[in-house]
Amino acid sequence: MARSFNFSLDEKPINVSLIKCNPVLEVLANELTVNVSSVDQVSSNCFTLIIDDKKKTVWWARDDDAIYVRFDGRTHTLSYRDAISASQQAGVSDNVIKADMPGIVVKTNCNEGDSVKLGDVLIVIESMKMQISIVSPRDGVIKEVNIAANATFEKNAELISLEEKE
Amino acid sequence: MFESILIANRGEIACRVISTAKELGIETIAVYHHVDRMAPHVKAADRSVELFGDTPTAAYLDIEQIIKVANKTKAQCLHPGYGFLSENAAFAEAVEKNNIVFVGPQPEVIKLMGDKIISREFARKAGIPIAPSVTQTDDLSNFLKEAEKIGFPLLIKASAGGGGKGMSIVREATTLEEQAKIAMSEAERYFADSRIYAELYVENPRHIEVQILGDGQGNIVHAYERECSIQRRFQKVIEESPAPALSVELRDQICTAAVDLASKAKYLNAGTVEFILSPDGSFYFLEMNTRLQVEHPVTEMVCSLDLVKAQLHIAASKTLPYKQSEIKQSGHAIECRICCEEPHNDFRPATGDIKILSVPVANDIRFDSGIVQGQTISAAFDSMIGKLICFGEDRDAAIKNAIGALNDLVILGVSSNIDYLGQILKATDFKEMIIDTGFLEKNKATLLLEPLSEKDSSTVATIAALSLRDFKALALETPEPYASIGAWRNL
Repeated sequence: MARSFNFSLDEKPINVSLIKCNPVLEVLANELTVNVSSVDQVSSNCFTLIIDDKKKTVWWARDDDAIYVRFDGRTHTLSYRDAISASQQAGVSDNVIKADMPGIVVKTNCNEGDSVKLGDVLIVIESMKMQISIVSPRDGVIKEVNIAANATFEKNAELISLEEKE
Repeated sequence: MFESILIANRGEIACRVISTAKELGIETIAVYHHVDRMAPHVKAADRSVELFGDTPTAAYLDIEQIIKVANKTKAQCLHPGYGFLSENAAFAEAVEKNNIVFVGPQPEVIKLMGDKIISREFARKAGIPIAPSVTQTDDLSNFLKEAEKIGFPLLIKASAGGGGKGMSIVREATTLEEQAKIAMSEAERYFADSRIYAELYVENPRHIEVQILGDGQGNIVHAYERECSIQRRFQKVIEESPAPALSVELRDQICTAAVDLASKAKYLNAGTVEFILSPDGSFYFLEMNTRLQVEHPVTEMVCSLDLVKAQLHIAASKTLPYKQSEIKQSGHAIECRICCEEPHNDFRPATGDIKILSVPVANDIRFDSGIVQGQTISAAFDSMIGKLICFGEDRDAAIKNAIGALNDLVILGVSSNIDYLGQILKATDFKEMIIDTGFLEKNKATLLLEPLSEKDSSTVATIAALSLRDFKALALETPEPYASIGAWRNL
């Protein structure tokens, strides 16, 4: 399963995943294919690239959940939460993954009894119009999945519990 | 020339004054509030002294404290910049009383021009055109007769009022009496004073101003005009010089009127006379600004002069640095005011950290600012953080240069109006010089950036992903045959 990167742009979620790396990067962003090549670092926050056959100079900056990118004379602000910090913020207490904010389940990727590894996406939730992947904080086995797709939950709801691998 | 100068201001204008003072070999003394302790104007100055106050703004407005600092540091002169205390007659007076030269006009002239009604009367006596008006004294029927003579549309205001209360536009004679009575009752209700006042209402006006320099003896030179019609809620957004689509004759008339007014006032140092220009070519005195203007660089560019240097020359010698014949206007300059705000959110002021700052550098581009990368933009001060001023052989070339420079200006981490300014410069009406003070409102729909298409959103998100270390790592870790060497270079 390809790891996905979840952004929110103009209050709409966009899911980016890497499909292929050679000879060019092939990226799937909200079901649309984007081809990238010749990524050249100009300075720490500036790179050039060829994206869908067009050369662009990109400036970017990051401020917590916000990512700013500027190219073609236009600045875009996206929200992003990397999977690890999202799962940390979701509150991992012992073997229970809790929600740190109310939301809705977009999909579940695991069933009871599944073996999971650190970083595997267990469920995708949506909160504040942002899609967030909840990943496994460690290797283990799914003990219980307490929620199903489309279910809503409150803050601190127990979403998933893990147990040690036998 | 002076040996030392205290700059009683902050931000870009403090940096601007410091830069010329240094060029002239004058020791520069900055003042700052704690929140500005790392600010560029503090770093640029030879010395700096902290000001204290309940709020940052209060510190920069504290006359007593600033005078104390000026005395203690033995500053020979003081430059007030714009805003803050720059047009405060009591401040200018206090500075002079302490034997420090105030780089600006005489306190009594600041007072005169600071009062809208008195300055208007002064202009009328000096023979400067002012919008025809009539004040109601006792007899309403007499007022109505006189008002009708002025013509329509008319603007009726409460004599005592302000803020739009009791204000209405009368478009035809038949409704004049009725609207006058309504205005009177509103005036009575809001100000306990029913007297009203009517003046010619100029529709679709342009805002033209003239830069002047005076020696305090009545000798005045002008450095031509600036067009300042691109405004939002009475705040200028883009200024240019020369004013587009203005005949030589009309320009000369306006500049002459400005010189006449300043001469009558025996104006000292740099000042600006503002006019309203009607589409029919008539123009009226609006007000005089007794300080250096935010938009002074467009004049400096087209006239090849340094207005701060001129100010210091005048302050030191009480003589003019140029003859009128030496001031020539050539080429075209446009200034864009860079503000931290959210154009898509009704221009709400934005705060945050400037994570990335990259400024285009070229001979015909000037970026006057008081910011550095890493700086925090707080809500304590005005949202204007800098000005991008671009030159061109003619107006089209200046616009093209400015659009390119805005493209290359990178300020990330806090929202700004950079992209909005680009939209203004690209607007058809702007290019075709269809400009008046209602421009931004009339062109509202075309000035907001188009929403992104699905494809564009995917491109933006992909680019955002490429900035992520995790994403890059994932691509690099992907095992053969999908190795990523093909795409990434220079890692």
